[in-house]
Amino acid sequence: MTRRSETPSRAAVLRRSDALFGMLLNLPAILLILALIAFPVLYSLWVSLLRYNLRRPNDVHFVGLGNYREILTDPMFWHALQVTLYFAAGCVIGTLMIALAIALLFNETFKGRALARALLLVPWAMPGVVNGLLWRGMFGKYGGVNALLALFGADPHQSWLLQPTQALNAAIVAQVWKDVPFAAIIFLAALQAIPRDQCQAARVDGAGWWARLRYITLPWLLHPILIVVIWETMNGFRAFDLIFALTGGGPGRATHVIAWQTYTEAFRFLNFGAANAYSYLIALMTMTLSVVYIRLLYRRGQIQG
Amino acid sequence: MAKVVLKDLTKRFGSVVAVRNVNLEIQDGEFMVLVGPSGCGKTTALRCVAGLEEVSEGEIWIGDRLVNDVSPKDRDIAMVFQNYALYPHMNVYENMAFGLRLRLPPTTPLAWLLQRRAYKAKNAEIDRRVRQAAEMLDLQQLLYRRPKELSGGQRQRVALGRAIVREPKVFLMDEPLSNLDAKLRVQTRAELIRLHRRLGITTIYVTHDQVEAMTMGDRIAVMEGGVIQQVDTPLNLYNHPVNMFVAGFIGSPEMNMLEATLKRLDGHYFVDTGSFQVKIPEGRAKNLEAYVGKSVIFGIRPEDIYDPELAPFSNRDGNQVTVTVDVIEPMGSSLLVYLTAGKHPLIASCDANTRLKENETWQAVFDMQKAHLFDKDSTKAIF
Repeated sequence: MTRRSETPSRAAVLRRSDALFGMLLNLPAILLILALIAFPVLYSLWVSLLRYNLRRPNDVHFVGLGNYREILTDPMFWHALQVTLYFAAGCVIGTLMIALAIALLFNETFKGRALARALLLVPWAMPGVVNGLLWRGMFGKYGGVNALLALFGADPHQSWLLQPTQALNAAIVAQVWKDVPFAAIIFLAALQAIPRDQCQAARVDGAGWWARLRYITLPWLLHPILIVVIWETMNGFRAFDLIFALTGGGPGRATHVIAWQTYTEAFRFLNFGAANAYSYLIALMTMTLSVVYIRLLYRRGQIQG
Repeated sequence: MAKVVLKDLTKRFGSVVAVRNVNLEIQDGEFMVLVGPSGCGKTTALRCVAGLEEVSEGEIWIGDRLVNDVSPKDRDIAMVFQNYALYPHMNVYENMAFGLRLRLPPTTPLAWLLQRRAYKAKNAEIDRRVRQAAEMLDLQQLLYRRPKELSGGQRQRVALGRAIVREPKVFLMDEPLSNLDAKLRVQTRAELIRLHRRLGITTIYVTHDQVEAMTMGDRIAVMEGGVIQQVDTPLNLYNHPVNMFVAGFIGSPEMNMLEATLKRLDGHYFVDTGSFQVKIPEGRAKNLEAYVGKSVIFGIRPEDIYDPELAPFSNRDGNQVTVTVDVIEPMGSSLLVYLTAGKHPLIASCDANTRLKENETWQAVFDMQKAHLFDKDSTKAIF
C-alpha cells in the first residue's frame, strides 16, 4: 500500500472547513424548519392513510387510500366542494374587480392620497375571526347593512345570515372586504411600474381611457392579476376562521365550505384520518388550479425584458 | 399636412417657467428642429404641441384649428419618443396597426355580422398601410417579433413606422436618435431626412445635438432658458448668430470668444484682447462708434483660423496673431490645434497639411470677414 504523499492544500482544507462551518450555522434553522414544517406535513400525510378516530383510540390501523375513497363517495364532500367553488369564484371576481378599481383610483394624484392609501390597509390588518364577528354585526338584523338599505327604502329587517343564499353571499362580501387591500396594493405597485410613456404613446396613438385600460394597462397587469387570482383562490379554499365566526357553516349547510368540513371532521367527529385526507385534497385542488392559471396567464403576461 | 403655429406659448410647472412666450411658425411640410441644452424647454414645448402637457398661456394652432383644448388623440399627430415607447406585449405589426385599429368603429358582434364587408375592407386597408410602412423601413422580416427581440435600431424603425402608418398632419420627434450608437445614428439621420423628403409631412424634431440639428433641419429654433434665441436656416445660424449663446452652441468645436476692447486708430477699428490686436475690415466697420473704448466679446470660429500659407485669402492687414501651439489633435481630415495667444487659450481647426509643432510659436491668420463681435452686456451680436 502506498501512502498518499500529497497532503491536501491549505486552501482546500479551509474551503472544506468553511463549508462545514456554514452548514453548522444553518443547522438550527434547518432543524426548526424540519420540526415545524416537514414533520407535520409528512405526519399528516401518514395519518391520512390511517383509520384514526379518537372515539376509538384503540382501533388505529392502516387503511391506505380508504379515507380518500370514503370522502370522494361522501355527498357531504361534493356539497362542500360546490359551496367552496361558489365562494372562491365570488371572492376571486369580487376582489379582482374592486381591488383593480381602487388601484386605478389611487394611482391618480389627488389630495390626501397618502392618507387614503394608509387607511386602505386597515381591513387587511384585521384577524379573520375579528373580521367574521364584525360582519356578523353588519349583517345582523339591526346591523349596518340593513340600516344602509333602509335609506333606499328596502326592507330593513332582513336576516341575511339566516337565508341560505344570502348567507353565502354575505360570507363572500366579508372575505372580499378583507382581501381587497392586499390585492389593491399589489395592483398599485404594478401600475406604478408601467412606464409613463406607454400611456402617453397610446394617447397620441388615439386611445381613450377605456382603450388604454384594455390594451395597455391590463396587459401590463397580467402577472399581478395572476398572483391575486391564485392567492385569492387559495384563500377561498382555506376560508375557515371567517366561516367559523360568521355563520358556523350554516344556516343548514349553506356555508359549509370544504375547510369547515375539514374542521368538523377533525374536531367534532374526532376523525383525524379523514380530516387529514381532506387537507391533502384541498392542497391538491389549489395546486391543480394554480397550475391551470399559470398555464393560461403566465406566458401571455411576460412582457418585460 | 399642416402648418403649426405657436403663439406666446408659455408653460409653467408650479413656479418654474419651462417655456416662456414662444412664438414659432412652422410651415406646411417643413422640418423644424428645436435644439438647445438639456432643460431648455424644447421637449416641454414639443409635449405641449402633442397635447401631453397643458398649455399655461398662449395658443397652439395645427392647420387652421386651435388645439389648446383638443386631446392628443384628436390632434392628428404622431410622436416618436426618445425610448420609443413600443408596446412590449404587441408584436411589430400590432404596434404599428394599433393607432389605426383604434380608429375603427367599435365592433359589436351584430354590427360585425351586418357590416362584415365594410370591416374587412377597413382591415385590409390597415394591413396595406402597415405593410407599406414596413417595406419603407425594411421591417418586413420582423413584423411578427416582439419589441424585446429587436435591436435598438430596429426598435427605432418600428417607432417610426408606428408614426408613419397613421399618416398624420404633423410628426413630433423627441430625440429619436439619442439611444442609438454613433454609427447607426448617422445612418438613421440620413434615413429620416430621406423619409421626410418622401412623405413631406410637417415635422418638429427635438434634439440637444447641434450636429443633428444642422444636418436635418430646414430651419432650426435654438432654445435656452425656455426662450427661443433664434430661428433660422442652419447656415444663417452658423454665419450670423444673433447672440453669444447661439454662436457658442452652433458649431463644433465651439467658437473662440475673448473679452476685448474696441479701439479706433487712424480711422480704423481694432479689437484689442490684451494679448493681441486685430483690425476690423473696412466693410464691416459700421455703427461701431458707440462701442469704442468699451468692453466687447470677440468671437472667431476655429475653422476661421489659418496658416498664412494655406489661407484662401491674401489679405494680411492686421489679421496675423502670434500664438504658441500647445497640443495638436490630428482628426484625419483636419487638425485640432490648441493654442495660446498671450494669456488667451484658443482652438483652431486647420487643414491636415498645416505644418505645426507643439510648443513652437506660429503665425496664425484670422479670417476677419467671418469674425464676430458681441455686446458684452446684452450678449447680442454687433456683427
